[in-house]
Amino acid sequence: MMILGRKQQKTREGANRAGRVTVRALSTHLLAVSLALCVAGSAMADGEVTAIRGGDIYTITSGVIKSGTILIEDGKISQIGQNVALPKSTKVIDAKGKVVMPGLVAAAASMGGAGYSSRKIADSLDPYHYSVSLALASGVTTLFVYGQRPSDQEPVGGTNAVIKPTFGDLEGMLVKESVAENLNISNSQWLRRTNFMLKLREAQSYLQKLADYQQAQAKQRKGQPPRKPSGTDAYIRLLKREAPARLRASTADDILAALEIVDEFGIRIILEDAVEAWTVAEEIAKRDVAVVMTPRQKRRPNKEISRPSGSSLENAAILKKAGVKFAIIPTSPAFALWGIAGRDLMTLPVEAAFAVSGGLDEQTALEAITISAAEIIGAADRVGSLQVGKDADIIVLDGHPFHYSTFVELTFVNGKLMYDKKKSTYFSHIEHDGDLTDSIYGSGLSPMDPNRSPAAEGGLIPFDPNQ
Amino acid sequence: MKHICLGISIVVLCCILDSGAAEEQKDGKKYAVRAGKILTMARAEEPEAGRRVVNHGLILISDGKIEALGPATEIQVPDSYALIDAADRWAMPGIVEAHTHIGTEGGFNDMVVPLNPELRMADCVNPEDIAVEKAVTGGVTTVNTMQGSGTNLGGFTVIIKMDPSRPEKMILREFGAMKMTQAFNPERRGGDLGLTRMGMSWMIRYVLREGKEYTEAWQAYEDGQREDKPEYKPELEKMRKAFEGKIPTIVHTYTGWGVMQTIRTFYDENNLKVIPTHTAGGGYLVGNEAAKRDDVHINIGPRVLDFSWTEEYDNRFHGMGSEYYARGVTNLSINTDSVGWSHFIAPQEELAAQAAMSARLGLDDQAAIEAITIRAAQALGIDDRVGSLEVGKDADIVIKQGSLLDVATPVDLVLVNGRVVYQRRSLNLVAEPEKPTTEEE
Repeated sequence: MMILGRKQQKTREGANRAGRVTVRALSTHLLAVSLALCVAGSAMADGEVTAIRGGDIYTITSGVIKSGTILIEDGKISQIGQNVALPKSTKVIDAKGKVVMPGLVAAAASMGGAGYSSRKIADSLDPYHYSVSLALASGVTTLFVYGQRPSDQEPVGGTNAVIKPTFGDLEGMLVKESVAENLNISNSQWLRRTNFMLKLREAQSYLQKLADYQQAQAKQRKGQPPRKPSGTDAYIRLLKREAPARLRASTADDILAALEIVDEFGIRIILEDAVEAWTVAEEIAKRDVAVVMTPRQKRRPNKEISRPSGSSLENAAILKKAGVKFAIIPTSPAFALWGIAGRDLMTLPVEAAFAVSGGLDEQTALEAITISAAEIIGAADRVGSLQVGKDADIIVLDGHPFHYSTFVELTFVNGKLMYDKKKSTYFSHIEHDGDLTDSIYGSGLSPMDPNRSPAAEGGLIPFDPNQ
Repeated sequence: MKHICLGISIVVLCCILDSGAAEEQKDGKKYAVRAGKILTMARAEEPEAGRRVVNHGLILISDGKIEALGPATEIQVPDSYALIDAADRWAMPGIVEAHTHIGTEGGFNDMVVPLNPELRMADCVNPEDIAVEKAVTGGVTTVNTMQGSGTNLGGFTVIIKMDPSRPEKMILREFGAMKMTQAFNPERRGGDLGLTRMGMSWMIRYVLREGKEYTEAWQAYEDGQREDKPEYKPELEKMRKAFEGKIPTIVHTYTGWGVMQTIRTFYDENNLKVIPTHTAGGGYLVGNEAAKRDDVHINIGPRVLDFSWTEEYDNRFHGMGSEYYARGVTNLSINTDSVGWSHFIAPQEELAAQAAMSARLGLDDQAAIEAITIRAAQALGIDDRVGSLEVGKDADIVIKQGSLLDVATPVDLVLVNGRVVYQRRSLNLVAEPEKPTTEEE
């Protein structure tokens, strides 16, 4: 067993506490499932070498490798290509005729009880939470989660984290806590916005005084170090560009107001929602600001203004054209059990497929739920693409990722097989006959063509028959 | 100066009148649609072939109706027809929605008394609702829009076409269906009788008995079996349409016992053509009972899957559509239950995605498309006009680069009543016919 640092140990105890409470509340039935999944997870001991062989590998960052092999060692991808020599005693998983791609990355989500009644996310994680097993069944292997959000009075605060759905394993679950500063401002919340700006200036002037003092010290001059104003830690991190700020900005006004802050203070920001981003895409691109968006988001156009407004299914396509980096999340970024299908993280690729119907190319749409999302949440060094050295978070699909009938068959997290459709109860009873592309009534989606964009030749603004 | 103004206004007036005439002419515009694949959703000649699919087909449209449909090699295109070139695309029937709330203003429920047989949705059709404009972008051309489920009898729905440019022609049928509510929603409302399921059931049976007796009395009088004229009751008059079999009764209901109660109350006891709608929470468990009866038309949505991890359940995600099919129900349609225009549940334009998600969860692809076209039309009793592409039916056609189920390809062009009501920006699939030079404009 790994030796834990004091901090980690504390975290672990906290999580176990949370875990115990939740487990008690769940039925024994779910426990049975948990055990089944645990067995699947532990079947592969550490040190064992696994190969996923024969599938079409969508690396995301370097094209598609037809009938390729991925080698997994110590939870990482050790080799990838068409001609990979397998060491002795390699456990081989046949993926012939399947699509092999990186586990999906959700740039905003809720999972595993994260943030539930704890100040720290690490203390709230429950690796047995039902949503963890649903994430595995959905192929989502990295998630950005919010803990506490800033209160109504504060512009900055709370916590967030990047986590993985390592069912039954608390150790691998937390990738990093606090990867961004949660901002709670918008143009309409002028008081909070003003407070935020004032505090930023205060922090900025402190940093300036500190720099002056340090310069003076270097020149052996006497002087007093400046006193750090209280409650400015987060602001200092922002000003030093150590962390990006995540804030919700829906309308063009809100987005432009956020960009003003970037211009004045040079902080990094990530815009969420950004439903009118398509109307100011060039402005966003100029500042190198990233966006977390939902293609199907709806907002009525504002009839009182003459410029374009409201939502557009073309939002993602227009952002791409302008050169803005973006991640796609579904309309409800959680694992929903209430019967509405196709609108939550259980079908993340469906949301990306809607962006494709709005004119986005398939490659960028895939990036928006893998590598781009990983970059935006600061986890691209470990996840988001199939590359040697990265975490072996891999999913095996039975078809094109954007086909409505495609299911995740296998999910690996940190090199461990954590979900097998056949062995899980969730979807094992659902089988689609034959090749999906053969169906008369199916879509006829061809195999992956990175440049395919069925809507590229036109837009989606209603046609006026009277013109 | 005054004279000039008058002159100008007369010219303007003439222009307006002129464009009005042109508009009328447009109504009669004739189109020839050339399509790579036509899913007619009509029965094939050989029953075992299922639905008729025509590859490299042609559809002729005149006076808003389908004039001819078949392989392109068998149909001549007359000169005066504008060509819609969809040779590398699919042509499919306009989507039919059996349960929605869009395109209305001031509707929903009155919430004063729990039984409102006097109310009609046709009084509040609003062609300017943004959801109508958006519906066609998803290929939806006909909807049954209705009251909410706040009272046991909400009133009468209206069936409208998604061509808001001509509000006076939007209504396809003024009395769409009788809207009733049997489970959950009305029970939530605080109040007097009807707060419990027992009370609610009494209300439903009470009003159905009133309507039935009223209908029978008038039928007897009109057939000459009774001398005295029954008293005319405007609030019950509309219920005659349901009891005479002219319109269906659409019933908000949930769970297995709820659907069973709906089938018993409406079909078995009152011989009404019934559409149990929603039916989530295990309604499919009584699917075999629904399958036994001819005029029970199941309508699922906005929930299309059932999941529960309780011990008595099996920890599986059940596609409601496929579970109904497994129990012999083929009279199955899918809805969005769309309210206004929002992303939270299912906006009207995403009805096809609702079908795609049902297909994902195990419903056959063909059945999924039937469920948003011909089956919905049959449930509403409007399959003589919409729901499939057949000669004589309304020319409501959706053109896109893939199946209706493919969420990654957008709808390219939509015709409603033979008029192009939507075409994706910068696409131009319509080629005007070359006019003979001798003809005067």
